[in-house]
Amino acid sequence: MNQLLQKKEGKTELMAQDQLRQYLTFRAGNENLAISILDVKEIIEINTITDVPMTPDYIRGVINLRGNVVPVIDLSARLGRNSSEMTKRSCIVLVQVEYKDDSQLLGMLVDAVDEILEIPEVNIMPPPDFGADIRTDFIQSMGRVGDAFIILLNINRVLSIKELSQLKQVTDYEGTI
Amino acid sequence: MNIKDLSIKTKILTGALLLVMITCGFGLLSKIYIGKVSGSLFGITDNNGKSVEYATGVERMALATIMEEKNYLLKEQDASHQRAEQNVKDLMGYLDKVDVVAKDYKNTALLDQSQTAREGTTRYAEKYRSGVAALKANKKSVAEMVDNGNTVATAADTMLKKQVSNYSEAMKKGLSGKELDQYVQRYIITTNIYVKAMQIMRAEKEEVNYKDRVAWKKMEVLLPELMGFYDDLEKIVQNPDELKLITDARAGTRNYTDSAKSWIENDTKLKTILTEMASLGSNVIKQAQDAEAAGYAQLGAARTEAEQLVSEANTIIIVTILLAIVLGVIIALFLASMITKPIILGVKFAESLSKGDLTAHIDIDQKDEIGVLAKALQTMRDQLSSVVQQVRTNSDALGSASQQISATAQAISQSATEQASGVEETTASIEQLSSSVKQNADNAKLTKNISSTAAGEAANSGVAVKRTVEAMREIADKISLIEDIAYKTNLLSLNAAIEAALAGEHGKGFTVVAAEVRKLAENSRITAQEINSLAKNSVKIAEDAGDLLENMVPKIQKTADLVDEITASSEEQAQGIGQISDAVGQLDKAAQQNASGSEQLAATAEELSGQAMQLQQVMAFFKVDANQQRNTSTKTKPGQSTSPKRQTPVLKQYAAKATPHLSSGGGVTAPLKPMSGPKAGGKKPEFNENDFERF
Repeated sequence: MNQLLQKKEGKTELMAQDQLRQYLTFRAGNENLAISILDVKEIIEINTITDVPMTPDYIRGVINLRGNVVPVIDLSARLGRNSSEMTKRSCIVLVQVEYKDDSQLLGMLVDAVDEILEIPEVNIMPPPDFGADIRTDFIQSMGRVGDAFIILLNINRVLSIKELSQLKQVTDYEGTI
Repeated sequence: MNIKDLSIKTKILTGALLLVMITCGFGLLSKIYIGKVSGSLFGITDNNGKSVEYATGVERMALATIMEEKNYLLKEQDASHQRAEQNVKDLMGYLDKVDVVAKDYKNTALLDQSQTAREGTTRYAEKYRSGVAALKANKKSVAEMVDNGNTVATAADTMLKKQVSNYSEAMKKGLSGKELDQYVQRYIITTNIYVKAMQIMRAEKEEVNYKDRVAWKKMEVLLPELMGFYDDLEKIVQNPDELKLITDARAGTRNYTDSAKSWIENDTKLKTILTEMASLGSNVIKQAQDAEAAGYAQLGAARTEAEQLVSEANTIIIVTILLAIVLGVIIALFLASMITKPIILGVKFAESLSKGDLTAHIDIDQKDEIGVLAKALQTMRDQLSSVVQQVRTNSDALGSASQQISATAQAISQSATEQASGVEETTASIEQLSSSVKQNADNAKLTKNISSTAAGEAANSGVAVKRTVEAMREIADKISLIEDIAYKTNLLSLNAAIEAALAGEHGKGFTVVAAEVRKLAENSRITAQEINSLAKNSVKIAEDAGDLLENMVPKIQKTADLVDEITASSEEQAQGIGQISDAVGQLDKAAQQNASGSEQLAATAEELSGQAMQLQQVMAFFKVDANQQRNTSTKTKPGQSTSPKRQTPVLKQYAAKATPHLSSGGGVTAPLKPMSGPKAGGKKPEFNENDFERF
């Protein structure tokens, strides 16, 4: 596991050098958000989301991804906004989340994906102390594009450890069936 | 009041009343006779019928009583005796009924008869009772006689036995012939006594049975002979026992003789009683039969009386009918002659009027309806003659007037011809006007058709625009699909970029391709959006165009309607002008007709004067009183205008009585109108008033 992690980190380093800073921008609620392209596994269109009982509001359910059970999180609800409504543009961004020594594949329900942006290092700002609606520890940094800022999310902190364990349980439970 | 002055109604009513009174009298007479006949019929049924019935009852009861009496005499039963008593009582009951009827109808003869029958019956009943008593006594004496007879017979028998025993003893003792001869002597006498006694017994039985006194006469001979035998026997008997026997026999025979004598006496008495009773019974029956015969005789008398009454009634009824017929005929003839005579006079008067003789007179002086009619006829004749007078004068005036008319008619003819030419000019100008108006109407019709077509086309355009809008919308929808495809392409490019990024150095080229693809997708998305917005704009424009067209259609329609109205009014104008044209044509014709008519008028005026002449000739038919003619001719001379004024005062008296409008008539015809007035309306009320007064 450690080897795998190291390998991945190394890869990230490599990419960081070569790819500079590439971010996938998307919208959830009214926010323009972005995550590092390296965190993204795949973008898929929504097919069928199976609702799971006894779960918090922000867990929309699970999907069948090529035979694997993948939990889906409503990012807008998770970030304290209203539950996002399904539109033609709604899609699921699959990300790999580190949890303890394990990694968990997770789907984020977003309202729309926009583009892949290259943001130079110069334009990356540290997260603000206050003033944002969301907890600052979720924010990795703020990217400046033109005059506007885009919040760059730290995907590993979007969900707490406890919540992630819950998710794990859900996944496991689903898998046993 | 004179009988002629009575109205016809009163005359007829009086005649009818007389007939009714005669009929009533006849009815009353019939009623009285029917009462009498019915009284005599009741007499037959209630008085005489009942008397006969009760007399028959009396006879029946008497016969029954006698029969029961005979029964009693034969059978000597008490039941028969009681029945006989009962019959006597019934007989008395019938007699009582007879008395009641006789008293009711005061029939003294019947009452006397009843009294006699009652007495006879009482006597008969008494005799019957004494007969019954005698019969009983007779029976008793017969029994006594039979008893004594038996004693005699027993004594004879005893004596015979004694002699037989004495003779037997003597034979045994062997006595001498002389002595034996004495015994034989005694025996023979005793035997004679016995035979005699038996003969007497037989005669007695015969007498009891036949009661004809033949046997009794034998007995009267036989009894002394028996006594003689007793004496003979006594002479030759010495035995004291035998002597005593003879003495007893003799006493018994004597007793028997006495009792037989007393029975015969008794029987003779009974016979007398029975004979009397029979005569009394036949007497009673005879009386009853007499009563019956008397009843029948009375019945016959009553019938004869009733027949007489009926025939009397018939005679009286026939006489009354004949009387009524004769009286009716007389009354009818009288009435008929009274009514028809003046009518015949009136008819003669009317005939002379019809021959034109207005001088005729009617001579009826009566106040009934016919009198009124005669007066009315007289008035009619007066009126008629005055009218004839006036017609004569008026026909003269008519002749001159018709000539004037002829002249005037010619003048009219000339002016009518002028008028006709003027009307023809007017006709030509109106025809020109008519053709121009017709052209207007045709043009308006064409315009209307064109505008209608335009309205239809505009409506079609609206539909086409709507379809265009639909098509544009569909285009917009399709374009949004293209947009989706572009988005998906974008997603694919993003995934490709991600994969490329994950591939690191090896994916660098692919990254570029992915970026190019993404750009392409972005471009196609933008283009699609632009097209979409353009399509949306087009839709809006097309919709506006559609609205404008829709607004336009009703306006065009209205234009078409207005043009239609113009067409209609043009047509009406054309029609109006046509009518004017027709009217002018008619005017033209009328003018021509006027011309020809006025010519005809002239001709007619000529004819009129000819007819006036004829009228004068016709009026000559009437003969008018010379006095009256002179009177009217002098008054008509001043002129025809004055003649109506002269007539009116004469007629006013009738006109006032008749309808009021008649009095206002002032024209030439005015005098003629009241002519019918006085007859129809004027005189009638007067007649009615008179009529009412008489009633």
